[in-house]
Amino acid sequence: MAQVVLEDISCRYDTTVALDRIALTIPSGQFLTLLGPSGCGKSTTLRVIAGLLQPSGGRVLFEGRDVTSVGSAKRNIGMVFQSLALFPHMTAAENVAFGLKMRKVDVAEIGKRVRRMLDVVRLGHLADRYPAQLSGGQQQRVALARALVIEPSILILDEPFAALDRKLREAMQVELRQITQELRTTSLFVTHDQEEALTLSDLVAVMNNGRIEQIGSPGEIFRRPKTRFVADFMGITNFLDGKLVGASATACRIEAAGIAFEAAPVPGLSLGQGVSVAIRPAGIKVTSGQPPGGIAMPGCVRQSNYHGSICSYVVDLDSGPTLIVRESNDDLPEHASARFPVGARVWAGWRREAVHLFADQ
Amino acid sequence: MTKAAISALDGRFASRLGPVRSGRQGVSGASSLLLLPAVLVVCFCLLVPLAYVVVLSFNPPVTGEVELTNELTLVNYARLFLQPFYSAILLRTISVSAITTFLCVGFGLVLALSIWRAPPRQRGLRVIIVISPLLVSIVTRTYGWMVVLGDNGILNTLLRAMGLIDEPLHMMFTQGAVIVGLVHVFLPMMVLSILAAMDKIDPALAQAAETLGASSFVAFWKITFPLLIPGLTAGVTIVFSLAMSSYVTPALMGGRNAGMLTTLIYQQFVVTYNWHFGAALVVVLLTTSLIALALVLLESGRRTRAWLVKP
Amino acid sequence: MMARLYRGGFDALAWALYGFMLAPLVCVVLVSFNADAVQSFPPRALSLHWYWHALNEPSFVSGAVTSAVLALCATALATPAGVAAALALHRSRWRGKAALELLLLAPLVVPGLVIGIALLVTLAGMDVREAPLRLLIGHVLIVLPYVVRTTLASLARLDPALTEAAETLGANRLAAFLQVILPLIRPGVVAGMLFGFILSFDDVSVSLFLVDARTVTLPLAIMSYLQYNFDPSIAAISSMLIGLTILVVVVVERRLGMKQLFTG
Repeated sequence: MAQVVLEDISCRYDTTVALDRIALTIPSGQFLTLLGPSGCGKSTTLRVIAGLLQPSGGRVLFEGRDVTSVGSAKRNIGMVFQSLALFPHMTAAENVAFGLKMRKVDVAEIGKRVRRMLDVVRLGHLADRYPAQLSGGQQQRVALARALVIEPSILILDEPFAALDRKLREAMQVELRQITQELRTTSLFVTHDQEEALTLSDLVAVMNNGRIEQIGSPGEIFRRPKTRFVADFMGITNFLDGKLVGASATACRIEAAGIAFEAAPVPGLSLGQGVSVAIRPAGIKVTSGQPPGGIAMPGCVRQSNYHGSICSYVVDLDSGPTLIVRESNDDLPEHASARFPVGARVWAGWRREAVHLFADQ
Repeated sequence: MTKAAISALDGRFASRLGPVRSGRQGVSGASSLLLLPAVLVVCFCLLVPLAYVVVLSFNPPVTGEVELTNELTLVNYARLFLQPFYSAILLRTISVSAITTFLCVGFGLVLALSIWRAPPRQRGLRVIIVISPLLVSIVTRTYGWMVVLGDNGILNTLLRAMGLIDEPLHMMFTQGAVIVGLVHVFLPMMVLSILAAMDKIDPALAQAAETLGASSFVAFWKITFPLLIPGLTAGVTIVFSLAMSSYVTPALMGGRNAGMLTTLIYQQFVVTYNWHFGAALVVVLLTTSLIALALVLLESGRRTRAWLVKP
Repeated sequence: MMARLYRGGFDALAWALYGFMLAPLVCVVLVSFNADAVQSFPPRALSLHWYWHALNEPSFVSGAVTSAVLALCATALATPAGVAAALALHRSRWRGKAALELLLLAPLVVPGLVIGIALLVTLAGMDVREAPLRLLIGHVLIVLPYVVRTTLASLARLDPALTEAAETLGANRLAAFLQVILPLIRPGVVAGMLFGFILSFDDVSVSLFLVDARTVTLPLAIMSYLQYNFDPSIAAISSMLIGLTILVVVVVERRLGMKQLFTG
């Protein structure tokens, strides 16, 4: 298993820049996810690492060795494609054996390794089935086995679960996590689904417009987004325009939506600067009266939606902005579907920790 | 690190690296090499000869002369357009082809619809019946019609047996016989073109129209038919140009007074050896087909431009 | 009521048309078993006499050999060229791709008669008058576009990631083609070859101007026989050809499905 490093990778198609001087390190044995909306450059990055695309600038290093001009056939990578790309005319076992045959491994050894790998993905009993005779989840596992059996320097997965239904997707995520941890494979996963990224990864890199916006552990990315884009992508949907009116070593003071309140200090902001105030929907609490202490603003419930274990409110604040609030239904009486009806007068309040600040660009 | 990974990264590979594909490839060296044989065949065995014929048609007619000269003239074309005997043949060719195409459209729609609406198990059989003539030599098909339509043929025998006629009807060696033969030859192609277009139509569309209050007849004309125009266009252009250039059917079924441009062309090349006039006839044949094709495409484009999404 | 009448009329017309499509072929087969030299219907007596007669007609026998050899050679030459061209076309994202594709399918659009004349005239101008060579060139042009078209259609149905998958697993271009792509497009290629073969074997319009007295293809031999004779030996040889074609079609349909010949 190898450490993979991208140095200053750029990619241009005609005049559009798909990748803009990307730098990225995937530590040996770690599971890194590239997360971002479609067109952000995550698939391009993946294809550069896989050797399916030649970057217009920069270097790709596998374990310190420059492989930028090495074709994908010689990079020793295992790739699971979005469409899986199982060879339809070969059985599961033949699919898995293909990479070993290309490496001229001897026949007895191939048989052994294929059998072992099919057992790892729990498909030993279906070795002689053709892809068309397998279920979606089984096909996924064949693709995974085919990529892993060659003991790749890096396992690359291109949104492999995008076509699966929710239940199967979650089962496959657990299984993938377990297998890659077991084999200690360096892995690169690409997805646009933030939950999937958080579930699977040791490291998450959020991409936007051909750049990496932030890279860190799932906890870091989720709790301390560095840019407004990352915050937005992590599901923080409430943004208020505000201004920095005071700062100290332990707190900074913000004026937004007609009130002033405190937040954790953010280095590099200057007094009077415009900021975006992001508040996580789950960090807001709706109450019928003004809560004692803390930050709260009066408003009116415009919509209340029941989602099963949680429910969400759309609250129009009297001072203008609209907030989306999400709260657990654990305390809800059995037959009720919301604590507040549409039109109710409420207070929306939050703790200081729920606020993230981003300097306006 | 595993053994395989180490060896893949080993410097020994550096000397025999495979080519890496760039972001957007043009025709690479290997690709153009793969294309070369086929492109050469088509250029030198089709395009060059076609150009040769065009030039030949503008050379003065000298019997037995086949090499090109610098002398250019319109004599061959003047002969075709100014002599009523020849221009009548041209007109007849166009009208027979047009009638054939028209009949193929009507019958083709009926057959295609009948296949489309058939239960899935019958569909294959119906398709095979319709395309069966395509799989048999044109000579065999034409001979078949001679057996059916001849004075002592099967149709006359049946009609006489039923007491409908006393004297055999003369059906062979008439313009009508040619049209019957041509429709039979080209109907399969029309049906296939229409079916290809039907395959792309969501069957729910006609049902949607019916839920909105259209009768099935109206639903067909207002919804299905306009969506078939691309398929019909393909069919019409194929059938018309093939009918214009068909030789076997008019030669065997047409008799003396139903000659078409192609039979005239055959005479020039094989009987009278007037190749220059023949070449002019070929050029006129192709040009007429192209003009008709352009007209059909224009009209079809006008009707479908707004909604047709190019793949 | 109207709807039912409309439906009934439609069905009647459709069945009449199915009959129309089959009539000449069925009649040819019926007549071929007729014992009499004169056409009569229904046949008064059945016999295989005319089959024997047809098989002993020298022009039919030599024509069949010529046609078979010609179609085989044309298919053998056109197939590799067509498959290679289709592969290159499929792979390239070049701007001229559409024009090249059109060029390779052009022999389908140009009437056979015109192809024949153009070759006759040009080759005569170059003083090439050998009928076998002329015919071979013409027939390669008949087969080529069908191979290109069915191969392109099969390639278009493939998941584009398959080649990449093979490459990431360590296969070079050639291995990826031989082990992954070729097995998957083989049915399409074979269908194109068979269809090209049948069309070459049955061709009249291209060959019409390219044959000479010594080298005559079977359809043209039948045609010239037909101009002077009208006995059922024509029906017999035609029936044999129909039988042969049905055999090929059934095999193709069983193994590959006919549909891909006409789509794509």
